[in-house]
Amino acid sequence: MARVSAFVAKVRNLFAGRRADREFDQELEAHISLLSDRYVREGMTPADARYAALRQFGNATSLRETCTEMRTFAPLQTFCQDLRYGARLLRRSPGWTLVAVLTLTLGIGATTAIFSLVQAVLLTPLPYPAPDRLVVPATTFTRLATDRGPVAYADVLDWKAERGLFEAVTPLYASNIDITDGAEPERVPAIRTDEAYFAVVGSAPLLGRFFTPQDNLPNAPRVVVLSHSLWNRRFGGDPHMIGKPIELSGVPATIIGVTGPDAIWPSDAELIRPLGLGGQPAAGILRRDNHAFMALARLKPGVSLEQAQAKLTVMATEIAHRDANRADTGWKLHALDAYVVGPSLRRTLWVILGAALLVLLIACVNVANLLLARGLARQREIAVRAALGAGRRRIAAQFIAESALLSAMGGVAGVVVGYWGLKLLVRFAPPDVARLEQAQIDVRVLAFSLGLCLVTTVLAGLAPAFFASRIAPVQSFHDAGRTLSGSLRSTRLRNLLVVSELALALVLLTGAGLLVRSVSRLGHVEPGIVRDGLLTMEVSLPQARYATEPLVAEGFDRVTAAIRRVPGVIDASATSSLPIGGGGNYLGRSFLTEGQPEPPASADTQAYWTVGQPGYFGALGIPILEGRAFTPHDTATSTPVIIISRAMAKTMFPNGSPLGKRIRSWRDEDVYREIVGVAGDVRYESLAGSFNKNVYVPHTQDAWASLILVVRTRLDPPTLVASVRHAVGTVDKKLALSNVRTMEQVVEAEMARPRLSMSLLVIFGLTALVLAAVGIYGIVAYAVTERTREIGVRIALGAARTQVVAMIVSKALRLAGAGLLSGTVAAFALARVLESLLYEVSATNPGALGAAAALLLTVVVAAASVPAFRASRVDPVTALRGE
Amino acid sequence: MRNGLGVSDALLLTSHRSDGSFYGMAKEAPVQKQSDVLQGTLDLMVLKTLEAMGAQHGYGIARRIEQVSRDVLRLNEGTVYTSLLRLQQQGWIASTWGVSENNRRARFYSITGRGRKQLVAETENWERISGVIARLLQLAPGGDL
Repeated sequence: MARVSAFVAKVRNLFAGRRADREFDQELEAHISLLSDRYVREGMTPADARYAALRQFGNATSLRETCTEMRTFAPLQTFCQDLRYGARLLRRSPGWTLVAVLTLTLGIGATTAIFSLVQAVLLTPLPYPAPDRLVVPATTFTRLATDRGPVAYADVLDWKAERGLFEAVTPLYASNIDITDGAEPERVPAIRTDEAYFAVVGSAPLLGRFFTPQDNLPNAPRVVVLSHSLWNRRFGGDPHMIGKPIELSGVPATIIGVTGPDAIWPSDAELIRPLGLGGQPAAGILRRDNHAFMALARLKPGVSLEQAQAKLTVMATEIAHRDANRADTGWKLHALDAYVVGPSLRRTLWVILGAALLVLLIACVNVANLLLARGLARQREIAVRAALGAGRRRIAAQFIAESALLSAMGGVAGVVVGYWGLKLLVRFAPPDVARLEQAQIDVRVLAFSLGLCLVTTVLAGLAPAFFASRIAPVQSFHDAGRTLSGSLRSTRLRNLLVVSELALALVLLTGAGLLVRSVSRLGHVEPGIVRDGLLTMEVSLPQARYATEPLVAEGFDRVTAAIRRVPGVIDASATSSLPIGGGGNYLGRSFLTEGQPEPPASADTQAYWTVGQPGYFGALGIPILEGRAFTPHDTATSTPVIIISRAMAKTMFPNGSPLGKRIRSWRDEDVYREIVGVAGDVRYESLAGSFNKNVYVPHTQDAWASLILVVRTRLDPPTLVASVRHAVGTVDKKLALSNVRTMEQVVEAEMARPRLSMSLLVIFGLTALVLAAVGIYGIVAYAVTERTREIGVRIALGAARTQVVAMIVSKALRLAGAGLLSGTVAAFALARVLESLLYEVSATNPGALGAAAALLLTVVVAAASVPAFRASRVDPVTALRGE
Repeated sequence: MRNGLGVSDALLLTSHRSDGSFYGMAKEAPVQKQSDVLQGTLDLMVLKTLEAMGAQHGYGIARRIEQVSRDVLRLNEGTVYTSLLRLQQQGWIASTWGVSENNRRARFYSITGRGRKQLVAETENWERISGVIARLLQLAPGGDL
């Protein structure tokens, strides 16, 4: 309380400072005059009386100062004074200031830009009510090494019954659907779910209503809820859409509601439809090994993720005991935010932020070094100040003030750089990073940057302040006349700074080198197809008009035939899933050869089930190693056939040819198919993944209604889009093409994330290199100036100029050696962090470290050579006369 | 020995040091250090004076302390003003401008309600501590507490 009122009084005095001083003077004068009046009354002469009064009063000047200090925020005011003085100094050497500010700008700008990404992607809560209670239950498949597997509908029903854990649980089935009324058919991402969905997500309808349990019954009238974005985009935000019909893949439905903005998950879904599994679902749906759904759940308040996970683990163990098909599975509960941003992206972002912070740290070290160098030049001035009574703190404060000024300027410029850097980042960022586009320089980012400035101020100002506060006036005056020699302590301090700078730069460069190698490896990966000249797009034949398998098969035949007639098209085909994670349905199934006993007596072989038209292998450039490809003679009524990939053949038929053998996908199709060919291996999951085991079946024998068209052309693929679209329209003008991409774009999307982290680390590494070069240059140049006389003497005594150069460069090399040594230790220590970002490159790869070290050494030698050659040209006469 | 000794005398009131060691301190330690010790004592005296005599200017307070201490305590009278400023910032005293006996503008200080409360608390505190010190000083060498 008392402290507060003193504070208030001081604040008032900020505005009444002068007047308060004047009044205080009046008060003192009144006192002294009263005192001298008394002495006059006691018989002194007026002059003596005044003298005695003054003596009795004490040191009025010091009193005045003390009281002024008490009345005001003295430290603040002296700090302002220091700032003004610092600003004058900085203005006097604009070049020096520019270098220092630029250095900090780079550091703060990089960190600000990256932090705004981290903030948007990792730190901002999801836009749902109480998002921390949203969880994604998923299946862990031990054999597939995933804990994000789809779940069975029966599992969801079990969770719904578990009232103690969840407020609500909902099954989700993501599927795209065509909106087929209106001029242009459009394919949109959609989900099918049940009435619990809205309770889980926690959203209320903006218009109309959401589902009821009746809407979810198998034969209920078809209803649909629009997302806010679709309602705005396609229907212009028309408030009278409720009750209107909409045609979905040729089937009419009724629009019953519109969600609020951002009230949908997955956030790109645009239509929500009932699953139609209400009431008593069919037995096939309830099979525990029918993993066809995603799920989303909301935990009860007060139930932690760990508690819920523990309970689920118990439940899953019971199921695994009951049901042999579930033996190698369990349940994993993911927090929704962790599920949206997978561990790899999370780690990547933190690593990049860490790298940016390293750059900032190097920048700080550099500025500290610059300040220190200037402090040495100002040694005499500081000594004079100390001699005149300036305290250590006061002198140190001046350096802190200077570094605060530099940090503030660097901070402002850094935020501007960060703003543009962020724009660039968002433009070049991989497309699969959720919420990236929301990254912006907001208040929290600005607060972070302000924090960076404060940290920078301390980091950059501390060493010089410490050094300057220790300058002994006496010694400096003794040194006067000669060139001021940096004390041993300050030289050591500067060397230490440069060494740590080099070490940090080595760490960054090594990291950059590892990522460059990794990306280059990734770029040379053979996916198993010829990827140039390929255009891909998704298309779906609506059940309304393509009700039977033969109709579907024939429909796709007509579509691909029409595309083949487009000028410039070499080949066209259709498939259920594209290589390199290019889209489609990656259907995993288990296989047994004829005569092989079913598990658990023997092990089945898991492989992807891919449906393709006859031309598929030719269009993608997948070689047929043995046997034949599909032909038009493989029809719905001919012998069921199958083509297996080489990896599959090696696993199932290690001895001898698989041709003519029969296999079946047990538990699923369960039909023996004759192996008619062996195809080359293809990476289906991703570029970085391994070759998958694959089986191919002809579309005529398994007629999927949603396929991906692949078009091989001799032209630039994107130029073909319009004519392909037109060709498809001639077959059925209500077919919507979606996800139109070239195979190159698919590969690019796969490469985008590693390439971005690589580019950032390379940029950071090179920045660190430049900063380290500046640091080395500074210290060597200073040493040369300091030793001019000594060098002059050496030359006068007959030292060869090359010897002088060698002497100076070797000094720099000693520093570099120390830096590289400690940097190597640090790089190895940090290698683990990078491990998960690397593709087929060991994080302790000596090549990357060696290359980084060589680059750094080259730059060190170059930076040191400039002042070294200047030293070798020292004229002994001039140097000695300088004395 | 006269210059600055006002302060030293005041110090000797509250801490027992030999003259020599005090001198050593006075040379090196900044003014702040000495007034730390003096501060509380002087503040208490000023508060008590204002309570006893009503509104007073700085000169009046200095005279009163001089009179009561009967020359045992000699004060650099200026230090009264740091004390006044401090007390005013704490809100324990208030001030108005008035006219002094010799017709000069002077600031008159008076104790506030909060100041009175503080004075009661400080007085109790002082009595407790001085009691402890007195008992301590009466201890015979080697005796128990």
